[in-house]
Amino acid sequence: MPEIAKIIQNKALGGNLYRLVLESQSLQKAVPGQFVHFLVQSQAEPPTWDPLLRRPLSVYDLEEEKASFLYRIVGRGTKQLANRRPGEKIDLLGPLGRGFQITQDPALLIGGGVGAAPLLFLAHKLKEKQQKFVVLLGARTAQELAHAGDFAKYTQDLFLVTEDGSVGRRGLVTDFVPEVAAQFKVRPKLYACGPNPMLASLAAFAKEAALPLDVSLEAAMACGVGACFGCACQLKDGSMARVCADGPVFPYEVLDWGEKNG
Amino acid sequence: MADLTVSLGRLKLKNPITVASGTFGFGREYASYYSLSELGAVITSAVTLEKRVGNKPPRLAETPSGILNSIGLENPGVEHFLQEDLPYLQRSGATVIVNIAGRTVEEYRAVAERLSQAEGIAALEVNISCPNVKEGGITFGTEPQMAQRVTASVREVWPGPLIVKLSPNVTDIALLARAVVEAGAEILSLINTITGMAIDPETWQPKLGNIVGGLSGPAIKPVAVRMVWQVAQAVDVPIIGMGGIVAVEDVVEFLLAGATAVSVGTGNFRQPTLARDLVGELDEYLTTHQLTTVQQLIGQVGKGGDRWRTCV
Repeated sequence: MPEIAKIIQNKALGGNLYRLVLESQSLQKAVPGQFVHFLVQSQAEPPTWDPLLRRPLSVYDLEEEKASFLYRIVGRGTKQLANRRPGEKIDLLGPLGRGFQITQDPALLIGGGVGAAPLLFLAHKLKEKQQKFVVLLGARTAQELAHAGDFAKYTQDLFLVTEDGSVGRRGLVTDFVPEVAAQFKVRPKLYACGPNPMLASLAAFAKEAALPLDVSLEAAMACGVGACFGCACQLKDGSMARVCADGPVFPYEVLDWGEKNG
Repeated sequence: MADLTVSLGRLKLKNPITVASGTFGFGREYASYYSLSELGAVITSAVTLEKRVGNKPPRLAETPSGILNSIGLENPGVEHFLQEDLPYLQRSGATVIVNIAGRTVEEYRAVAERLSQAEGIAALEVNISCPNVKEGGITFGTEPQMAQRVTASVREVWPGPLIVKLSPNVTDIALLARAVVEAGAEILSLINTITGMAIDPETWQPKLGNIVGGLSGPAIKPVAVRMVWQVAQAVDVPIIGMGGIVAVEDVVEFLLAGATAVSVGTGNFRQPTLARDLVGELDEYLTTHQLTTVQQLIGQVGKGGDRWRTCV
């Protein structure tokens, strides 16, 4: 059922990134990689029907009754979301979709830009399970890595990469994956979320290095529950999968990494 | 409580709220939000003779108060529908209307014939907004003679209530309405999506993988209401009205324009409980307006003229 949740925090972190924190009952059962479908408009005013659709956001973290979300302003919907204030109510649907398949393997978490969102919750779970994991985060600038501090809460093994070199190593996050992966004593499982070219590059690496890789995909969604087939992505076998209901997390090998996903 | 039942000829519904084809899958995804038996009917996603994988992504683009889609009738095919989806819908207690589509007249007929062998289908809705691959890809629903051929062909093999869903992408929808009624349509549903297009100003690429798609949502509601009103003046068969319904006021508007029932489509995406909620809200509307039946609203905006206001 849709839930009307209370906003505790909706804070600009810099670099157009925001952290939204809610008090929610229905999200307590969420697992890392699942998402929540939000109505971004004010609940206090009559609906305007524009933007019409909900906005999907991955669960960023879950601590007792507090669910948090990391988002970046990219369009009309996220801009309206940024206007919501603590104390206001927000209409949400979730948790939705299928999350990461957490295995016993040591883990390498790779986040590109705001794609880091589902990885914090994963890091939290891995820490609880006392599993070894390393986090590799990349973005264009230090400003756009404003979420890096949240990860420091769960791990010392945090590598940062920026395209302009303003913090951490200079380059693309994918440039450093082979090097970081090679430092594991036991072969790691990779978990990634970020822009499609980054995921395609990781898929190629995972295949070559024969490492398991779960990717969380982003897609424009309408229903968010699997009914409309609007967020379809192509699978290797030629069939279509629904990012919302069959994903958003997929083992990389089932996806078609041709032009459609790359 | 007001009397919400409606009769569309032989098709009797417990209330006038249905869900539009292509927005509700085969019901499974929404059944966790409410009992499908609460709706007037569930109109399924289009069922074709063979499985269809649909169009290439991206398939969605949000536009002002609306969305463009190019799903491409992705569905598992009629045999799968009969084995898996229809039994599911029947167990859910839903009144089931099956939307059918095809690439040729023969395909439409074959799907209808196969469905006529099944139990528990309240009506067929024929989606004539598909390109006819045998006649250069011209949409069945935009050419009166082709629309008639599809309708007549399905009519021959399907004995139950027959709905034809009209395309709005025509110059004169009343002409198409009369044509399919002549060919055996007992009920008309309208409107299907309006063909549209959106381009990304940064990449200079169409936003949809299929380049063009169908526009739906509140953005198209005035067009839909106008067409329902026009068709209601032109033919004597009952109408299922749809296009941008997101609130009870929209339902009332379609009923006043001449629809006997309505379909909620894109609105389901925004609020999964919308269709169910509208059943209760329609009842409240009737009570508040001291009406006892839905019937009292249907077609109350007639030919016009009587309500013209002068400036003085």
